[in-house]
Amino acid sequence: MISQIILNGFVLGATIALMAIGFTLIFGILRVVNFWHGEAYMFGAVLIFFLREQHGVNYVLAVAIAVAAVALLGLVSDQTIMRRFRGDLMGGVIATIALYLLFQNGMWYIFGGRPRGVSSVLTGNITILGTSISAGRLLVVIASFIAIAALGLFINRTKLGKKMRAVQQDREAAQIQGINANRIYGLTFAMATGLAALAGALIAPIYAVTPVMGGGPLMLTFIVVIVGGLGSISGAFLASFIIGFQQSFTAAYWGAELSLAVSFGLALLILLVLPRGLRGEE
Amino acid sequence: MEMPILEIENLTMRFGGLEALKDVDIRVEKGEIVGLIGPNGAGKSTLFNVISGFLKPTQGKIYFNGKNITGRNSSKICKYGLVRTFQGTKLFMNLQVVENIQIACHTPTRTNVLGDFLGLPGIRKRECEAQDRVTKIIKLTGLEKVENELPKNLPHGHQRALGVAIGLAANPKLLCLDEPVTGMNAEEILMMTDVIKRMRDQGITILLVEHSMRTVMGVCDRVFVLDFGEKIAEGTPEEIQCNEEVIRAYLGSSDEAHT
Amino acid sequence: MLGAIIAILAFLIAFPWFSGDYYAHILILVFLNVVLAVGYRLLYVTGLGSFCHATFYAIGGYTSSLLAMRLGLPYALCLLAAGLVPVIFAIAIGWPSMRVKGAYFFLATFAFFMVMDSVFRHWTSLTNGAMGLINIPGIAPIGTLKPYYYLSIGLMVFTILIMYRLDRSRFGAELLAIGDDEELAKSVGINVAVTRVIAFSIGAMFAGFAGSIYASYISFISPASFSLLSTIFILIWVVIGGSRKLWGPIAGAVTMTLFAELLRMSGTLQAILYAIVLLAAIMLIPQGMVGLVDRLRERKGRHGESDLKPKREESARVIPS
Repeated sequence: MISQIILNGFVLGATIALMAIGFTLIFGILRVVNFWHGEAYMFGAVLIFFLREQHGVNYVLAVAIAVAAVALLGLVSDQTIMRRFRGDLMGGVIATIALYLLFQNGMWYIFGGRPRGVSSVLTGNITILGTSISAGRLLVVIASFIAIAALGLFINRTKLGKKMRAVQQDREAAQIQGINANRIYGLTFAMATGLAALAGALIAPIYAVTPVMGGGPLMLTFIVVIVGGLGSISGAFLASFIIGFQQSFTAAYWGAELSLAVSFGLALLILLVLPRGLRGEE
Repeated sequence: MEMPILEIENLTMRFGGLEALKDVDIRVEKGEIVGLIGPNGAGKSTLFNVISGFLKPTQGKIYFNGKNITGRNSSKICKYGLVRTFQGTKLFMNLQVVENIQIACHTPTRTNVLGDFLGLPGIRKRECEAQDRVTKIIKLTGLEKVENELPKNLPHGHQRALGVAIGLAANPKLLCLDEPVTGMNAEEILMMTDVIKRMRDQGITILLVEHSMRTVMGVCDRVFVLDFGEKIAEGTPEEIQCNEEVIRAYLGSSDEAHT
Repeated sequence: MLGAIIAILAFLIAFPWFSGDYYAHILILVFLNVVLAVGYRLLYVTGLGSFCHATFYAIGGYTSSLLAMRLGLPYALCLLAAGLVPVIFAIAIGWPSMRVKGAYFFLATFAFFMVMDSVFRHWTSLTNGAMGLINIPGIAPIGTLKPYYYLSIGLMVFTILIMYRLDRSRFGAELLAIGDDEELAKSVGINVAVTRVIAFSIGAMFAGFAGSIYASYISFISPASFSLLSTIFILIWVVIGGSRKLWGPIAGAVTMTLFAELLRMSGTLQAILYAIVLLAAIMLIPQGMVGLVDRLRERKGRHGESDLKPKREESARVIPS
């Protein structure tokens, strides 16, 4: 039983990590709290449903399309809307809230509230360390880790990634060195929302798809970046698993509802002891 | 022998691997105008930030009128009487000139929100006395004609004067001016040095950081020189001008490093 | 100016006698929202936006209702307590949160909001959980409107007067100064953290009063009455209205509440419309209505007379003459 809980925590942690890393990147580089991050997740899942169930598109291709589409949406929204709010935290918050309301209700209008299912990609179970895990969920973990590793390589090894880090550390200095901050912002937003969509796309075959499915992951994302430290990728990664395990344990013993409250309480306590989270900068 | 108003002992400030200040000793006597000069990056601003409580030093002690103020926070230090101004124009952009000055005054209403709110008579009387001080400061810094303006509508010289006025309003015994005349024209510089002298005449000790050698030599009683975080010389302006170390420090920083 | 205000007040006082219950009801919500918005503004002008103002609204509502229902206390005491209890929470959460900056503060208060939301939902023996409290007594029998109309307009006027006085006081100037330049404020001896906590607490107090009136007027509250959306709305009113002047949040609360009510925010299409209007508003006037008026005045000033004429009446803000 315990090992099942641990495994659940692991899966949850891996999924949340995709969202939290993107969210913390958006904050670290653009100083924006992206309230529609949960909707990016939801779009990823909905697009999978649309492409796979209604048009029979191959799963891997569907994931690629979903991620690209949402990344494009993120890029466009940054370049047209968020552009006005560089440096304006509250204005940016209101803008992302407006987009959240728009996307949420728009999707509710188009899609309706009825949950839809997406057929599983892999069937059967695999046994690890004496516990069985469904192949589908194992796929989610593996795919997440691959994506996170790819992101890590991108940020640390490529020129573009170095430019992103430069902008995060000191925007003015970066611009003096000739880095086009605006393009970096667009790229960051696209990548982050793309990652969130990937999380949704991976989850779609496992859980039901509804327009409101982004709410829970958004809450967890907030908690994770508070605990991990705003702007820190390693912090977000670490905290995702801490919160993932915590959620799994408290859900198993106290029920899912209380689980969220405990997470928030934990985040609050950590924040008061470590005002910058585990690894936050500034 | 009277206690110096400011005494800095073995002050060291390390940022990670960088040593911004190294074992700095400085003593300022009451009523002096003391200058702090040095090439760019010598650590002058860091020193200011440390003594005014914006940074905690890695090592060393700071005594203000005999009281150990090392590591105290900035608003506390300000209340003791050590006030600093900032480089450039750091002003309350959305308050009028006169309000900028009023807000810096230590008055009873600041700590008594309720009394202020209810308009208690004792509070009002002391507020009126504070208002007199504000008027005097406005006259001293030459801001009479613009007292109801917003800072963004002021010419550069007036903005800098306002910066000094704000510092003055905080009732300093020691006023630390951070590059008060940088970027000013000759006429404005003259105005500012006049203000500085008049403040000293009113009993305020002045410590100023400056790039402009001419200003420093013209107004300071004594000068300290920093280079790479270390004190390399101290003395009267004439002594400093002839000091070889100082000349080398300034020349060396303008050439490329020849090592 | 004063004449216009008196005229508007007179109109509002007479309003329920000829308007019918539906519109009077909407105005009650408007009045309470104005109280929330101007209370929120107090901390917001110092540069710190919280995300838990609706929590203080909720705490006030629950405090007042529970005291009335469980202990049978007279309403005046319930109302008073509804203002004081949130202050305790504000200090408890505000003081330690002063160590964290901007976005962290926002998220920390958000975490507090979520924790309290869960407390309201799960401490069923106290709050009756998601089912909420019904038949909450107040100053008049359940279902009556006019007494609550006058109570809420009374609270709104009282709150605005207090805020107006605070704005003109030294405390108000310090709040603006901190918002302008926190470092500079510290360097002249202003205790930024204490001042902010006081602002936070005063805002919480008025939110609590509003919560008490809301609870006894509707006679029913539940955790859903104080959802995430309500705290988002408060932020919207203050930013869209503009925070620099007192009239900004008032204008924001009035227009956005009326707009939402007239759309009857239950349908999805209406919500989409609201979102579009909100997006347009924040993009066109990021400084809010106050910012817009300021910009228009500036442009007029450039073509009109010089701005250099001293405005004597405005200089008495910080020190009363």
